[in-house]
Amino acid sequence: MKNKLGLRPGDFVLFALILLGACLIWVRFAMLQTDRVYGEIWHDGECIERVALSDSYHEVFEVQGDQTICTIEADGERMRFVESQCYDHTCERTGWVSRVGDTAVCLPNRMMIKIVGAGSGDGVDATVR
Amino acid sequence: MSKSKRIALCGVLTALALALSLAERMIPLELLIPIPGIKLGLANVVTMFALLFLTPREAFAILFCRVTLAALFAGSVTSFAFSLLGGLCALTTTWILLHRRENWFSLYGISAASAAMHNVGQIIAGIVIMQSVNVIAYLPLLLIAAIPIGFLTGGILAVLEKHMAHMRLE
Amino acid sequence: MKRKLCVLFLAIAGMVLTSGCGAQKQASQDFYAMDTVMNITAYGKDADAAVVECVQYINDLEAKISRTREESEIAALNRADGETTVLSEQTADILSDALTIADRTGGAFDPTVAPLSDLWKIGTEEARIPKKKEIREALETVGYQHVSQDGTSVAMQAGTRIDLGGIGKGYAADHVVEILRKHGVERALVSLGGNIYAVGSKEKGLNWTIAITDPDDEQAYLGTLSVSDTSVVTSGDYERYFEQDGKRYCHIFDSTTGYPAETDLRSVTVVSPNSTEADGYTTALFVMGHDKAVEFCEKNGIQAVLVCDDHTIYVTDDLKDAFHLESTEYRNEE
Repeated sequence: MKNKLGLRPGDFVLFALILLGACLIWVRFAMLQTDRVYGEIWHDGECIERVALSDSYHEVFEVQGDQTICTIEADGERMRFVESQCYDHTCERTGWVSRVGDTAVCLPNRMMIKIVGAGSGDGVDATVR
Repeated sequence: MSKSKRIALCGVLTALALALSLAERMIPLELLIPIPGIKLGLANVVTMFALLFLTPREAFAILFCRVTLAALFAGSVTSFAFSLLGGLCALTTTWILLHRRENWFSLYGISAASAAMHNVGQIIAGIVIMQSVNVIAYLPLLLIAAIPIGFLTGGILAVLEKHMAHMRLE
Repeated sequence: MKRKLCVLFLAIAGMVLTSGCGAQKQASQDFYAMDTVMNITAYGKDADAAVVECVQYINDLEAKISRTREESEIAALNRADGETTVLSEQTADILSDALTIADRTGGAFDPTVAPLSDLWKIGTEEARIPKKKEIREALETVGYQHVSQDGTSVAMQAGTRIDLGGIGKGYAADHVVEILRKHGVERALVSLGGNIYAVGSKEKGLNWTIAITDPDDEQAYLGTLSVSDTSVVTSGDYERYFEQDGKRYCHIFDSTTGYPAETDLRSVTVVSPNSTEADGYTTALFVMGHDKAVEFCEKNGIQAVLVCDDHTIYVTDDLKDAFHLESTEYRNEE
């Protein structure tokens, strides 16, 4: 192959391999990402923790809120407040949150857990409570 | 070439590589790819030059010094890991491909492959450090970027190679 | 060859760079105000500045109308002990809205039930059933008729106390939407506790889907409403309550009995472009109970979804197409 730059056949094999690799990862990851669900912990409007939720995932977080420590559990693709030593305990009553876009809030501690992911699971934009 | 000359040359090359990697910080790549410490790998050109005209051992020494110094000057432990792993991957790739060079590859192809592997190395470091496989999502972009970068560094090396043919390192 | 390659690379690079852009700029903020968590998500060139101004607006409003902040205008009014108090235009405006709604609903919504909520303390650890005598005493101070407003000057019978919590979020929503529109925001979702304001429509002109919470299970919803450019407000007995001897006492008071509303409704959702009114009406309809509420909606052209304790759902005619029942636990009332 004659050209100004002096490219050789192997070069094109390399370029092709690189592009192929890029495409494969792109496609594979694009698919992966659509059904990926994340759990987020927000304190006073700031995201302090973000974890990828999956079937085998389990973790307990202890985070300091405005007044007390909140214990938050992530299990599989859901999350909940296990305990918050605040006065109203609404957050514990809320139970597990698992749908994309769902939240549970501990008001006294300004702590919120949120499920996020691509697309809002069932097309609901917001819930009136 | 005398031993002291070689050491001096390595020193000069390290300085050049260091300057390049510091200059690289000015490119706001992190806007596009939010991984702290990610680099395009322009300093790779020096590693490749060293592999072409010096020995792999010296190339490694230059790489290691450059990465360490860059981390000391303006980096962090994370950027050190990114650059070292990226640099090592690039070095190994270049070395292997250079062996087969006459039959198959031009400097452009080798540079592109080396840049691509540099980015693969960085992403591996990213997976380990950020403890998340999701970093791979940024790899396609980096891989595609490796081709134009390969042409850039390949072009530089081609020019250098032409001139070095008239010059003897003594 | 070289040129072709260059063109190819430029094309690829271009594709990479442009993908992901093109979508409208989005600004979203979660924040805490008026004892609840709020979120404003706005789309548009100026969305960032718009959202910041909205949060500021709500904080300022809260500082004026909060009953629990000693330096607020409402706290000052409640301390006035019969004297005439001059309010700022904004506070006077929201108070007159509250009194108008109270009048229109015949006191089913009443901004003067504060002495009752102070007595019952529902939503705190000290919630309790007060003695009959205490309730009777408190009731003497309750009643929107005890408040007379003339422009910005307000006089109340001594002991009467105002709480604008019942329409504060609705009023905030209406004004936040004005601010957003002023900044050229055409699409936004404003969620202030139980008040939602859907501004414009979603991308591609689709309606917003707003879910109504299942009173039995706060994480589930019983149905959805498909709306655009309107507010959706819900009140229910599941928000704040306490239980004693198997009976549930909710946080919404009946100003005629002095007790938490004894109602056959579990929750009321009102859809209206006027969020202040919608906020007041949800409370009022909840207190009225099913029969009166249905009548009131028909007479005043209010669009509402009423959830009854026998698991039937009443939807006003105008909303029948927009409402979609999801839960199998409930059925539409014929």
